[in-house]
Amino acid sequence: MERVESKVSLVLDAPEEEREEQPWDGWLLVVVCALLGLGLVMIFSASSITAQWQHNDSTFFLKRQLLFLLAAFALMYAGLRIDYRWYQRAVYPILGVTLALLVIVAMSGLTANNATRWIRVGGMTFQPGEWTKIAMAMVLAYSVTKKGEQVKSFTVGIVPHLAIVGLVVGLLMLQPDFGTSVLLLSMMFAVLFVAGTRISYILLALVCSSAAAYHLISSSPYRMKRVMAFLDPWAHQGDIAYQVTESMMAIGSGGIVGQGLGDGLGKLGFVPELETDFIGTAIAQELGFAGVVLIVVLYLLLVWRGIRIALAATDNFGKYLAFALTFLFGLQAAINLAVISGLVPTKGLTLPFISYGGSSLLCSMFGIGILLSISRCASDEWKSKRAEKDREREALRWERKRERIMMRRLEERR
Amino acid sequence: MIEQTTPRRTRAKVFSALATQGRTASRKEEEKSGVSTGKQRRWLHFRIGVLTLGIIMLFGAVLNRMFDLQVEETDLDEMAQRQVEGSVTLGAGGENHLDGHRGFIFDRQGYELAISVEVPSVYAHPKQIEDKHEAARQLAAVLGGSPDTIYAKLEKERSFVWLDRKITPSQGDAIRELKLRGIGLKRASKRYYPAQDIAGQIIGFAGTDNVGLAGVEAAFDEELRGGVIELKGLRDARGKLLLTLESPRLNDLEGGSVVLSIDQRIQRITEAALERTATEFKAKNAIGIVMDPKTGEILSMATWPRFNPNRFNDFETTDWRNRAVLDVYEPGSVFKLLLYAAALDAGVVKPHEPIDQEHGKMRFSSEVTLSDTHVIKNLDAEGVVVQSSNIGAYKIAKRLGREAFYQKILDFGFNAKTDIGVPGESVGIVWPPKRWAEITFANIAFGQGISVSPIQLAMAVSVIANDGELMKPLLFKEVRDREGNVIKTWEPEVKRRVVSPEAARLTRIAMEKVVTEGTGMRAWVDGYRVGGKTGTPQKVDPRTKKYGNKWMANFVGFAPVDNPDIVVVILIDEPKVSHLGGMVAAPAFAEIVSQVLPYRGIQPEAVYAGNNITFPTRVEPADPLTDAEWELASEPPPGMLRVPDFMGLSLADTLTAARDAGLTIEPESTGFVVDQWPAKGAEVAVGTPVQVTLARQYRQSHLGYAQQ
Repeated sequence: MERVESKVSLVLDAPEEEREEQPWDGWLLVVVCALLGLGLVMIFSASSITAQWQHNDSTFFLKRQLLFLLAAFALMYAGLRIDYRWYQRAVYPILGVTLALLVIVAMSGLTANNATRWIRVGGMTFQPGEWTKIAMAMVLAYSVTKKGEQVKSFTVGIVPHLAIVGLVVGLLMLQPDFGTSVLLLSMMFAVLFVAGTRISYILLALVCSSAAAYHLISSSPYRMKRVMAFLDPWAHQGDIAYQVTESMMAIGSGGIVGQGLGDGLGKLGFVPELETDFIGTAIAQELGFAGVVLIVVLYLLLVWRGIRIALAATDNFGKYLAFALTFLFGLQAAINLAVISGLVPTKGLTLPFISYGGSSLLCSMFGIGILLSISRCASDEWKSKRAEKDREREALRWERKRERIMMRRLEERR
Repeated sequence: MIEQTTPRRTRAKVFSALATQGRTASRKEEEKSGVSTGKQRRWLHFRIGVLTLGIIMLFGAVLNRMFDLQVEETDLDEMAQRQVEGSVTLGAGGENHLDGHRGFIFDRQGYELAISVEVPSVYAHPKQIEDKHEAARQLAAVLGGSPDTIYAKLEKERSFVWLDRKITPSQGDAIRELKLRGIGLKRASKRYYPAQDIAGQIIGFAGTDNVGLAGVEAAFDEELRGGVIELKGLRDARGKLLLTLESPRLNDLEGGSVVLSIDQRIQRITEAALERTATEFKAKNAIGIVMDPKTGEILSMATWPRFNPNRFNDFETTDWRNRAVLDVYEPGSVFKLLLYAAALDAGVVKPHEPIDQEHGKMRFSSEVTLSDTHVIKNLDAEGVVVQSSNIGAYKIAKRLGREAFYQKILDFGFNAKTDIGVPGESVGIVWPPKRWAEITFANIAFGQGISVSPIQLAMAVSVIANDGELMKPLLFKEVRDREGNVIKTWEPEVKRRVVSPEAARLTRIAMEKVVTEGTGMRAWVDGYRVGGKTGTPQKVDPRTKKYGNKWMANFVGFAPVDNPDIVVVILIDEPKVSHLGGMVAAPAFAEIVSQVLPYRGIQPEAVYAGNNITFPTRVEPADPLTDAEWELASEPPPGMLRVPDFMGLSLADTLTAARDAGLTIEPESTGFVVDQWPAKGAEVAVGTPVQVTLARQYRQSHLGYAQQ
């Protein structure tokens, strides 16, 4: 009976669709490189003036971003080489490390702009919030894969996910990082929806979350003020809506073809954080509506390749993970562009692959590495090797047993 | 087992293998494997597609919003444009390190009375200085002062700080030699007054920030002040101008220039006469006006003590007061000639009609008696003026009547501004006749009990000299803009007829007799017929409000009598040695007239001097004398010498001139001399070093008169 079980297991472990291992998705990398190249140009354009003021070196941010980029490509290559199924197996350590990082931030993080989001690693600072997004994509993909059809039930499908994401979001809100929190919740609902959770449950959870968010906002005069500033930014132009109104003015001055690369005037200190969160403003001002269309098209291409990888993935974990990561990139880019144009309140989210920033770039490129890894549709070598070893061990056992029997028989003959 | 997928081909085998274990286990495996059927896969892909569509729609919403902002809305563009628009004003000094170039002041001959030259100012960028203590020590050695004060400035948390404004060119060169990092020089405009103390009170001065603070400098500050250049440019968020969108027209920094009606030579003559008189008689102040009665132009207007605007800080505020316009005095007996002219004009007296002198005493009440110092019997009306009889003046005034007399006083221009264009002009005090007590009426008849300004007095006397017409006084000839175009001129202007030409002529005859046989015989000028009138008003003691024993010595007059070319008014305030106008002021009048008339090209004529008839030899029309000739006119005591005028000379010429004169030179920088100390004409010991400041840009005047 044991043998039968083992055989069944072997059969089930085999890929459903036996495909040839494919080369990884080169077009995805082309799209990402296009975004990265545009990002480098725009970072230099947007930051040269402030870099000159603050660091007496107009290429300060450009040089740092180039260094980050080298590390990011290394990380992407690592993501490409590591079989993504390892994240499935190591999901609990990953979750543990992530939670630990968030707790460290909450306890002894570095503060900037009224938010405690960074920890110091050696001489560099790192933003665990960026890593959390990748880690939660892994955790959610693992969870819905494991739960399978049970995801349809409320207690199994909704509650555990809401609990784990809620815990992470709670830690993020201590920083506070409203943007990443919204992104994680959106990703959770998206993955649950894709996994087949009942729409009614999702709607119920959405309503509950909204009620909680409303309570959070209305209970704090500061957050209320932010909302009022969002509703009528021109009335708060002098204080809290300064950044978004400046951004809108800069975007508006771009017109159809922009003021010309390098000729945008928002960089003269008018738009704060122009090289990081508001890099899209620099693009809109210097390259105009045409530039906005260009980056939107690039992101849509990225989403297309990502979804294609998800659909072509040979296993469910790969599908969910590829979808979650693609959804993450697409949604973050869309929200960032909506923020700089005053469509949604300020979040503090970067424009993936374009914005200046080490943590964001490293984590995003690692995510791309994972997507590329999924795109290979490789067979699970570790698993097949394990099966091979099992077989060899069984064969050895049988051999020894046979030898023992033969020995016994020989002794009996004597 | 974490995840299982079931290959389609082996599914049948699996199911058969599992068949023995029952359907429950089979369903469980099926459920655990997640998506395994094609239907489930299609559902999953469909749901992924739905969310992908959601993301595409989000991007669509973003594009829609961007289109609204970038293409539809145009306000944003304007707002963005507006906030980067900045402008910078050049020429206002201060942070942009560029001074306006204050325009020049010329006399009527084009002689420069006030000029602007460029001198260095030293500044620091404290952040760029490596060793602030050492820099402060080296700078203090050049600039003078203590290193600590300079170090304090270098310690400031500023990117720019002025260390010293308007230093000498040689200090600038020395600082350039130091080659200190973070220390620099900017050119600033500094005001110089080449004529030194000549016409100092008229010109006034401009302060270190090139704003006119007194005199013409203040009155015409707007015209003289260097223009400003407003440049539009690009502003950053900190409000700093990054670059300008247009290049500055540096010519706009130049100010306009003002041409005075003053003639600096006549001004020198007047000031010299005042100084001599005031020194001799130990007077407090002295005021002199020379003017052209036909046009109303003021040729000189001097106030002693002198005031040198180059060193305005060394003087009291009272010293730069233009007393000829700003102060008022009781005119005294000089007023009688105006009364006489008015009475002749009204026809109430005839020149040779006898006026009873009451034996020199006239009783008004038990206490008040009107008296004359020297009594001459059988005076006629003309004699009242010639001998300056107070009783006679009162009697003539009574004939004229209070109202008529008061009206004529106003007609002569008293109790009203002359509109000469000097700020703060005084109008004096003339009470209306209703408030005149009888003794006041008598006092006013001989010029006491009213107060007038010297310029009012000069204008009134010029009515007599100008056949009865009152002119408007002109202190300015024209204003030129920065390109040298005349933008404003002053033309002679008749204000009103005051007395008839005949009355004026008869008054002039009486005034000539004042000089030939009356109280003003010391005003005699060889070769010219002059007319005048003395005055010795008593001054009111400001404490007791009564007439004390302080006096003024006045003389007003004109020459030549037949066709007056100049009117001269001399007021000597509180002379000590003597106080009679005929003793003190008349010689000053003679000194001025004897020099100014030849300079004006007026030929001497045959005159009666006492019983002798002089036929003067033919005199060539007088050439304007050079400064050197004037200097030679007065010899300094032995061992002393007069400092020559080095102004405008090159360094080589200065050294030659100084060697010839027996002086040594301490030059500052190179170029042409713009300032010297001691001033020219000062008496110094032989070998005294003279400090001269030279500047490269000693600009010649707009008018094209090269200064020698």
